[in-house]
Amino acid sequence: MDADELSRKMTEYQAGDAAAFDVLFRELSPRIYGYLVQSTRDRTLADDLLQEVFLNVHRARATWRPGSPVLPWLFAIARHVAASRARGAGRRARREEPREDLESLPVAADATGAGRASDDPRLDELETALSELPEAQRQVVTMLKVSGMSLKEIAATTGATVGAVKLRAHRGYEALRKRLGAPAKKKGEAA
Amino acid sequence: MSDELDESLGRMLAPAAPPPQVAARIRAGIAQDLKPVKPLLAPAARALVAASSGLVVAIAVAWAAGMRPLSPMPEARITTEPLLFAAAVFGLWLAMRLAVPGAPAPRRIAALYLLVPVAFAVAVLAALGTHGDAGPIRCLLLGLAVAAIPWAIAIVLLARGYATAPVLAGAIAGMSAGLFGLMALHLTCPMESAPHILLFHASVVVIASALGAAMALLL
Repeated sequence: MDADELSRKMTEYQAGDAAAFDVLFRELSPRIYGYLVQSTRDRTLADDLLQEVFLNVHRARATWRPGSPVLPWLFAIARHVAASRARGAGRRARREEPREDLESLPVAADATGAGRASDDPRLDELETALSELPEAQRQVVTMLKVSGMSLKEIAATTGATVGAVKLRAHRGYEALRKRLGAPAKKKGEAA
Repeated sequence: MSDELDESLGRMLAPAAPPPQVAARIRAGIAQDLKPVKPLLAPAARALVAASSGLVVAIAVAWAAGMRPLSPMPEARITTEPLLFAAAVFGLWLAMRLAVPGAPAPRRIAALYLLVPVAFAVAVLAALGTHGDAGPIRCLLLGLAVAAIPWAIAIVLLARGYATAPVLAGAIAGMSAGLFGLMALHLTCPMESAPHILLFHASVVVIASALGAAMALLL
């Protein structure tokens, strides 16, 4: 679905059209879910967050201005929801005392990590490398791949300049290439 | 190899449909509340609404509190007043823009805007030096009273949006409202002492800004 069609559906959704919301949800939820899974590396948490994101989208639907791109608006909300949850979890973790006896308990296979068990060791290695990137770089690389947004749209989503987003993407890709032993790209080549 | 990296990233980060029960729950939740909504006015229009109503209310409150323009009005005050008003309108625009998700909000400019009280303090110290009497605290209370309703208007407009950087947006909205209080004091208080202006005039802006940031966390 192209940007104009998304805008049209969003306008219909603002007008209270349930079918338009269904279309938007079908089109956009996989991208948001992919982003959330990668951001949280926890599918159960991503399920919760997806729900929270769409509730926030619904509450904030009047803030979308007809004619403006839908994806930066949507991903800015998703990013805000994920960041708020991460901050909350961080605060809770600092307050709670770790129990040593719990560390020896077995962990469910899908409870941590993105839960994407692959047969390809290179994909596993890439996943680890991606998770080790600084947050800002990981976010840009993930958004570029999951959302299909342009650098300009990602800049609007993250509140950074286009230059900063380009730099983060470049550094992120370079770090991944280095980690995976791929040769660095020459200047002027696209990431 | 680089194409391989791109391809691997594409495979790993491919959009993934959420579990059907999660999708069904979300659809059902939203279907219950699908009322039509009117898109909000553009940030500039909302800033102008806030600024004009804020100005009218600020004048009314100042007048009711017995604050009257100085006569004769010092020339420096006449020239700085439009600057303060422009800073207030710009701040309201910034705050309203920060309340639209994904709008290209100039966060660096927004952060710099928080230095307005510092710039004001530097200008006051440069013009008046550091000597003088701190004077009565009454100005602080009057300034806060004048700023209170513009502050409430700004926070309500902010709450109708969706700020993805709520503390920054709240601080800026609060600061803009505080500038109305400062403007009223600037036009009515005869004291020309830097300690008084910094302690009991400029602090209206700082307090309104801090309250705005705190309130935004609760929105």
